[in-house]
Amino acid sequence: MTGIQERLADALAARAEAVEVASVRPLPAAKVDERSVKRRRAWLTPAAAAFSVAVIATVVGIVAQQVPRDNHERSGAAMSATLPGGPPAPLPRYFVGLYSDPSNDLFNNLAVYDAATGTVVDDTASRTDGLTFTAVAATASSTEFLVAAEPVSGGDIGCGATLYEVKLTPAGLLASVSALPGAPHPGYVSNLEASADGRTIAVESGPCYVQGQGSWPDRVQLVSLAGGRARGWTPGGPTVIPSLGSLSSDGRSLAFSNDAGAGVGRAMNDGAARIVLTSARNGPLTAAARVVVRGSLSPGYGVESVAMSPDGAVLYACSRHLTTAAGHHNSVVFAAYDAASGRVIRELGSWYSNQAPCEVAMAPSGDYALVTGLFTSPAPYAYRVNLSTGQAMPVGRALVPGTAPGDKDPYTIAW
Amino acid sequence: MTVAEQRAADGQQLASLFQQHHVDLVRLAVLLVQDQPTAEDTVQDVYLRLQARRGQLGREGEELAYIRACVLNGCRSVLRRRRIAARVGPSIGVSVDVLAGESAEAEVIRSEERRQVLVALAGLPARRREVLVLRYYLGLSEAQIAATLGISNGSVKSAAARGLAGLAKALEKESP
Repeated sequence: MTGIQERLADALAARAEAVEVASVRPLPAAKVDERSVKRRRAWLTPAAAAFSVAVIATVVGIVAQQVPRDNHERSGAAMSATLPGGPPAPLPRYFVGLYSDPSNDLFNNLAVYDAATGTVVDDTASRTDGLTFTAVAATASSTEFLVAAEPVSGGDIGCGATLYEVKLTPAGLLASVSALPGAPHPGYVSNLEASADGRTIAVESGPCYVQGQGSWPDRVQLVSLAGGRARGWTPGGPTVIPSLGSLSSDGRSLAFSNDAGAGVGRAMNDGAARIVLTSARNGPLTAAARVVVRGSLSPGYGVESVAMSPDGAVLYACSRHLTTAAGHHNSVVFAAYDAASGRVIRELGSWYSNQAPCEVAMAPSGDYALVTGLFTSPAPYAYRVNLSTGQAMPVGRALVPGTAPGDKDPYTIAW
Repeated sequence: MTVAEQRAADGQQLASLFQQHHVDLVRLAVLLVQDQPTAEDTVQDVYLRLQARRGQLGREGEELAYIRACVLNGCRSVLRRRRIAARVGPSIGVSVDVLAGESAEAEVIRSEERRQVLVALAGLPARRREVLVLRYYLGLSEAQIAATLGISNGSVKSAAARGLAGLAKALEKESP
């Protein structure tokens, strides 16, 4: 061999050997798992049923009105995992988020943000005395949202959650924040999602918070609003503290992630992104769900937030990775995955980000996503990503929760 | 043997071949597309496509060559998409700097000399790059490369010679 041939062979061998056997993602199973679709009917516990049934009539009315027509056409059919194509739907002008003012961390407030500039358009801080907001969900309408909030009494929080309907004016101002009828939830609600067809909500909740002991979410429920039927799963390692991402528009699949390393002591999250279907049996959440994006098992690394396309075929995830880039420790990658196989469809963006967890929210049309919580270099920005082209436009503000008094950057958002 | 039994046997053969050579196929793809996640996806796509049309694994005794050819085709598609994406906008597709961007692997390929060789290789036309990888990574003969790529022995020879010349020229430029 000549010198150049030897150098080539050496470089190729070294590069190939760098692919360690253990690091290669296994191939999918040889056959699609054709599990029986026969569903077991399970009913909510009386308390949860009271909570869910009470919101049926109103929620159906709220979220079912504006389901995009193509969502109905897609539902139930065999889905192909492709990114949106064609002209995108109009960009929703506002999104809502929950923030915790560092100077008053007892309350989490609800605010409306301009999706183009990131500026706060309106917020509830001055008008919802006695309530702290714990979860927010988008609906098919870009001006209507669902939130969960609970009373703050005597300095205590974490009990008696109630669902509220939030309506915005066309100018993004809060038109109304009205409690949905029904008894309060016995504990707290940490996550909330609604399907675009208005028939299903997903609720993650836990028992009342006890000072000094903390409280863990102990159930994730998919509630069929038409009849109160539900699927219920119990979080546990490695999904001990799940973060619900989104429901498909037909309410049949729920995407969620969990922050790797959270929950050490009882069980630990693994940082993976998973999907659980309404056809899955009640019981442990980990067993009922399937992994779409593998976790890292390393605290601080892995999937931090997910959203799903309306048809449930594509999962969008932002994940934190270790980076060797000079001056940075972590990078955040936002990518689209085939929800069925976990195959990467496309990497849509990557940023250096060393601190805050990233947060993803999908526009109702499924054409855009917002990615916030990024500490990018040289300046922090949130990004609005066109999911068809991958073009990421910086939103004018960082939207990274901080410690400065008066900070209104949200830690969770819905668009 | 019934058709159903034959299809089941073909499916088992395919699964067995992929299980046996999976890592090697991913490594082969990494040398062409540069980053491991894309390489894994490419191999997985090939596996799923072949699974969907069982019984078409090429001639007996040449199944592995056929699968390698499919992986090379898949890599070519990836590279083509990247070129298109690069024209559309820089935010789409995989970073050009993938060679140095992977933490665990960076230790191994940190050698500047190796990096230069791999960068130069990535700059070659697809056919020359594939021939060089098959020759100097897999150690295939000219005839085997010709069979894998579906080209003549002479084309393999000329692609290899031109590829090596291109590499040498690119590396000369890199040298101080």
